[in-house]
Amino acid sequence: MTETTNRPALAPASEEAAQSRLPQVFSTSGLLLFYLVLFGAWEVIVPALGVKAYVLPVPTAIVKSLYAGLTTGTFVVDLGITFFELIVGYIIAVVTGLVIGGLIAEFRFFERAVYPLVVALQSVPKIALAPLLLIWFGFGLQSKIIMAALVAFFPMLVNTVNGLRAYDADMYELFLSLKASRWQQLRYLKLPAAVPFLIAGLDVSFVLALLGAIVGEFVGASKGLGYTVLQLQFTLDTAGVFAILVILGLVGVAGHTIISALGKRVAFWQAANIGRR
Amino acid sequence: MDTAISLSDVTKRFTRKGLPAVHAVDRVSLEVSDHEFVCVVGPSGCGKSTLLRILAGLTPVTEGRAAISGETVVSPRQDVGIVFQKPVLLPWFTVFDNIMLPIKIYGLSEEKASAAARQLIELVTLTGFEKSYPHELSGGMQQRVALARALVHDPKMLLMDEPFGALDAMTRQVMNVELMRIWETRKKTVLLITHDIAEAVFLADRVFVMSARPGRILETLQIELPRPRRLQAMTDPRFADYVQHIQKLLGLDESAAMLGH
Ligand SMILES: Nc1ncnc2c1ncn2[C@@H]1O[C@H](COP(=O)(O)OP(=O)(O)OP(=O)(O)O)[C@@H](O)[C@H]1O
Ligand SMILES: [Mg+2]
Repeated sequence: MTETTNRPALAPASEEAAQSRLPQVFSTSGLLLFYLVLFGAWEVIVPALGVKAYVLPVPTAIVKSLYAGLTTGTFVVDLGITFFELIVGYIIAVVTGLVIGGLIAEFRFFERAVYPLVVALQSVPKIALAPLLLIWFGFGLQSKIIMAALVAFFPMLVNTVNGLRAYDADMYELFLSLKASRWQQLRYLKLPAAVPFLIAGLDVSFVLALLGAIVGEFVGASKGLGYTVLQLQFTLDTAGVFAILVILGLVGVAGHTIISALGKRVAFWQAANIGRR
Repeated sequence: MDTAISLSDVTKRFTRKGLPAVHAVDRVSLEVSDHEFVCVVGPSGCGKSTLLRILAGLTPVTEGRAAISGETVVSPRQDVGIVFQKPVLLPWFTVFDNIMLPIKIYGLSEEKASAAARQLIELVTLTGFEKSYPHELSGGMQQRVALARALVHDPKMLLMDEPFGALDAMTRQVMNVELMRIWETRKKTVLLITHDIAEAVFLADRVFVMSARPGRILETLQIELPRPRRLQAMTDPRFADYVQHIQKLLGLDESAAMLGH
């Protein structure tokens, strides 16, 4: 007999994770050193080459500007506004993407009536709609929220549709053999199978919602990070522009990190399988 | 004894636009009694799985009639448990929840069934793995979960499509002995499909031998080996006779010789 059946529970996941860590070269201190050298070189070489500060500021100037903006609170207020637009737009995109995607995946009527329409609308560059949204919804937060939602909606929708169809054919047959209702198929088979797709949709949509909010602010706003970037550009405060880019980058990274951590937790079976391969 | 399964002149043709029809099954008739263990053997593509899918209510017959307990099969039935060739476990469910899936879908009392599920886990020797996920199990263990799942709502009948086909020879023998044991204690009607002749002879009361496509029943063999059967049954001289006989029916003796076996 090849297997003893009363083995204890399998080794905890952490052990597997430990084995798949990055090799020693990329350890935390190694990475730190790498960036230190990179930014150090930037700091020294760029001014030495005679590049003006308004073209490419040195890292310390960017940090200073970032610090000032955060401590005086101007960046904080802007961040709050942009973040609000981003989150509300994102939630709208996610909810509508899930609902319409679910309808399209589950009902042929919606697939035939709505999907082509959505795809056609998708091919319009939505950024070009920003001026129109401004006319319709004004200079307030509303037009930015809608811009964010518009840009983030499609990936969520497509991932929902594809995800709900990504179930295994043999599993579907199992459900048929048990005479499972459509609701049961959705609940026990299609939705769980869609989770990795939904996570991917959430991830892509988040960054796009941020993009939408910023573009909305570019076109016409009186506050927010996108507006402030333009103001800083007019005054040739390039270090300030970079400081805001840093903030935007951090927001994007934070969103991505949270969503993929969530994904690993919810779609644990997938992470486990990939770890095995 | 009552008739558990009856096929009368069942023919199945697959038709698709622009393609010639595939004649998979040709006028197959057979009867299986309650509590009988029968095996269907035949070459690949002869329509074994098609027969099982017809009985499972997953595909309709083209001609003829398939009946279970005297009722024509029109859709899947709750008194039938199915074990597919692959385990087909839901990766997001634990072993226990996978076994309980039919209970959930049928809307039966989970409280009552969980005792049955625990008994089955013991029966298929998976005690201690209730909370494991499928990816943490070996192929043989996964297939035992599938077996327990097929039995959890206590169906009268088990349909099995090469349930251990994907396993290595050794694990497969272990599983066959276990299956024997389960069948002896639970007394279900079992129809098991295989292309392993020795497996069929070892397990079955009767073996239906099918021809190459279009699949027909070439012969029905009554296996007179004593029960309960354990692996020693394979050393019985009659065992070898049955196997040889079926090999001859399928024309395997010559091709085996040609392959130098
Ligand atoms: N859905 C289908 N559409 C068209 N043809 C099919 C379909 N299912 C099966 N067939 C054909 O019917 C024939 C019998 O298939 P079946 O799966 O029943 O064979 P089998 O005896 O189970 O073979 P194996 O031992 O390889 O599993 C094959 O020629 C196959 O191509
Ligand atoms: Mg088959």
